[in-house]
Amino acid sequence: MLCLRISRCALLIWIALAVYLGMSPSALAMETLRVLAWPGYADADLVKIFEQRHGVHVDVTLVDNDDVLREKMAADQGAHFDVIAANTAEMVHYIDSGLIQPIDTQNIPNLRKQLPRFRPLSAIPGITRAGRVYVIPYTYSEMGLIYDRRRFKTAPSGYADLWNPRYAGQVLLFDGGTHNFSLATLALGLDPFHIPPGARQQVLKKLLALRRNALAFYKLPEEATQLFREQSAALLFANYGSQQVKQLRDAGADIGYVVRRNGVLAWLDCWAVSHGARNKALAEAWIDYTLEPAVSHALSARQGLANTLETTGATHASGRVIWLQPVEDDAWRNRLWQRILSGERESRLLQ
Amino acid sequence: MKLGIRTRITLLMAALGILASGLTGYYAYRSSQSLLAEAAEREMLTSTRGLGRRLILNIREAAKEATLLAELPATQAVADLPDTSPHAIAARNNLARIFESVLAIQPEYFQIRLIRADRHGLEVVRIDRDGSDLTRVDDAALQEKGHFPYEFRTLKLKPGETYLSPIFVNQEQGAHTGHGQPTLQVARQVFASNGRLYGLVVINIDLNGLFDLLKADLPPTLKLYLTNAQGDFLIHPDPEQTFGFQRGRRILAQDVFPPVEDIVDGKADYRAIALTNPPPLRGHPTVPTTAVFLRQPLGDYVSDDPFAIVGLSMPQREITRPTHTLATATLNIVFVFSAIAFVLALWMSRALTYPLQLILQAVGRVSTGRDLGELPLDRKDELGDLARGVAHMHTQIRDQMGVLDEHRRTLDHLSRHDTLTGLPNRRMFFDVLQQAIARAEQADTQLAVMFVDLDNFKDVNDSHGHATGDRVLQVVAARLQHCVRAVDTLARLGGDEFIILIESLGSREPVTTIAHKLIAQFETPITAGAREVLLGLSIGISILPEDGSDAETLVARADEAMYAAKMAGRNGYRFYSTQPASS
Repeated sequence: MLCLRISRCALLIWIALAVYLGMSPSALAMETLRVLAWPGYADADLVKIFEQRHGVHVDVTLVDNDDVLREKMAADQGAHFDVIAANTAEMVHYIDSGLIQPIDTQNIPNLRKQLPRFRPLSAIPGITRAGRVYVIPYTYSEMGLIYDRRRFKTAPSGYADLWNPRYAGQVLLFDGGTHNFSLATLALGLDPFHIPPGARQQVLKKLLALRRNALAFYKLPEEATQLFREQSAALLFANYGSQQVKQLRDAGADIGYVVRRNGVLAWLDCWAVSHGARNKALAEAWIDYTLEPAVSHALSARQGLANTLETTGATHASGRVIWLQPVEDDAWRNRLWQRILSGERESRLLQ
Repeated sequence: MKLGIRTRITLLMAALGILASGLTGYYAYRSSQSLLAEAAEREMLTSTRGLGRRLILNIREAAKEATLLAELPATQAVADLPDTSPHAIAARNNLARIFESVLAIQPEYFQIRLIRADRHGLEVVRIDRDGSDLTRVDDAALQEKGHFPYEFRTLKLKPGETYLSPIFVNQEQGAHTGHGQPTLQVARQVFASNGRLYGLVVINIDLNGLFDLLKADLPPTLKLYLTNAQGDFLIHPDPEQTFGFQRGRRILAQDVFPPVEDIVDGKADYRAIALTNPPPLRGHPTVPTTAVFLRQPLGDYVSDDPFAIVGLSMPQREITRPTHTLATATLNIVFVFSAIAFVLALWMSRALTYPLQLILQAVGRVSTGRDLGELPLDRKDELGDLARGVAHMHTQIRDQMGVLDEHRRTLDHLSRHDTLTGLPNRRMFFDVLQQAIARAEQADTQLAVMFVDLDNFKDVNDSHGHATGDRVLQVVAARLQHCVRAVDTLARLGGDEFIILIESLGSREPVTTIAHKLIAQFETPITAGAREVLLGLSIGISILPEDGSDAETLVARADEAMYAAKMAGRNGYRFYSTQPASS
């Protein structure tokens, strides 16, 4: 009789232990996916769906500039995050530093839904390295031209119109050395991201011409909108893309937006899996999730940013998109740009 | 636990005293805190107004200077002379000297320039501050400024207008001391004498220098803020937080101090802000802080920033620091008053309950029949009334009890004596007899019961009336009493029947003697009023233990013996035991 009781007790204990062990992965130690991204890239409602689907907790950290992102990733070799978002130029830095790891594209079936311009991934600079995919495009914005429709009978042909003396003193440009050098180089028909030393003087002259044709150089979209309207500008280089189109239209400006002919500069933000990711498959599941039509569409609808699945009205089908890349010498470009912006004349600049 | 009134009163009054002084202290502390906070806000508002006024005074002065410089004949000379003229250089040198002397007396100016409208806004004369020196920028280093808003906006002014730039960090290369510094520009158009628009005069004002002068008057705990009309920080205790918009990133005052939004939106001229729980933003206050922000119009100029927002902040602990001393003092006062309240409560409850206790003890003594003892009879208050009431009640009760005792004694006497003769009645006699029987049995002695009946008494009543009869009975009683010893008991059983108990008998002799004495007593007539009555006695005697062992038997046997004596011819006596059994 006593023997029977003991064995029954033991059985109960064994069952309890089995239930406890069976539950532990989900109920007792819920896994956490750590996302480092930009405002609007991981909205709470979309995160919640992912959490429910995978039975995990998602911890989102938001950054609003590249320097902060670099700072966060630099800590402990990226061990504090599983998946990050950054533009292709920045991603090159992360690949170089070994802070991100190759992605298994088999785990991201939604890649098939992306627009043709994102296929094959190897065609986009900064995405692959030694035949392995490191980053997955998520959102992008072209730096097109905004123009006053009352001044243009036909849309401007492209970046070349920024130099058109017809619009002297009516062209609004962005106060950014790297991009303006790329613009000038592109106008000269060269690789915008790699200025050969021999072409430097030529590029500087082109930039001086650009300055002399400019009304002003802006830093913020609001500043551009105000100047465009108050000073009756004709043409605006939209560094912030469609965001500026919306802002100007909201302000009541009669404008057009053009992206075509000789190509348009565009930044491309991508996802990558951190070198220190705890669960690579979960990180890849997150990337795949953001490429679902509903999630990608929400990004466009809410942030006004283009997603990689749908075409936008502004992007001409034939438009060649030139994805931003790291440039040959950022410091040199910016140093020189400051001098150009300050109003230095050719004689002194080319010394 | 049962608490006495005294404990309760002590506790209640002490609690009331402590509560009253505590609350008074607390509210005094709180109200002085809010008074201090209000005073600090007022003071900060006054300071921000002062700062704002100094700012616009400086701007106004610079604007006047710019106007003066733009209209100087020396400036006009430069505008009038074509570049190719041999006098052009001399005219520029002359103007440069004037610019230098102005910069020399105005330390808050970074730079004064003459810029031409044509040739992409090329500078013509430019003097920069370079540390403690002034530098004239040589011709080759002069720059084209046509793409800067201060250039093209000034050129578009209407006559008589002055351009005021937004406050910005000057990033123009080669600006010497002014490079990288917060700057404000005032500009004025320059015309040639033929009325042709030649260009502009621009003065760069050193904003930090200006505010360092203003800050010098402020206490070090005050932090100074300045924002533009959109709320972007221009001056901040943490320089990292300033001019974010020039780095493509806006850092707005309304994100840290939300009410500033109202000033930006034009809904308010100033806002006093108490940040009790500041958001954890790097470089911003982390402790509870009070701040005042004030909209400061910059004057009647053409400008993108029609006003600036001047702000001052101070940690709240600095504002309330004086209240710490107050709090200590208040605490001390509260403590002392609480102690006083406690002592007073003890004393008062004692004063109140001591008389009550006296009265209580007195009442206790009343119930045990003792004297009242000490009572606070002299008090003039309710307690005195109560004590007097108790004393009066005690007197009344004592008197009533006396009367009652008297009545009881009377009633007791009445119940045991005959009212007419004053002799013990039948009931008392039986009590005495029973006790005597008990004693006699114990002492083994004899006792006798003599039943006495008056002969022919009925005739006395009938012929002389009851009053006489009663009188006669009284005399009879007196005579009978006379014949018995003090230790013997004479009682009247009713009517004309009397009974006598004689104790401690050794023989019948004393009984016989008494019987003879009794009969002899009645040989003389009894005088009742005017009449004389002669009465005889019949006496029956029973003896313990021979004739019975209980009171009823003894009396009944004595009665029988008396009856036998009466039958035998009145006026005689007879022992029960000697009568013939047959009769």
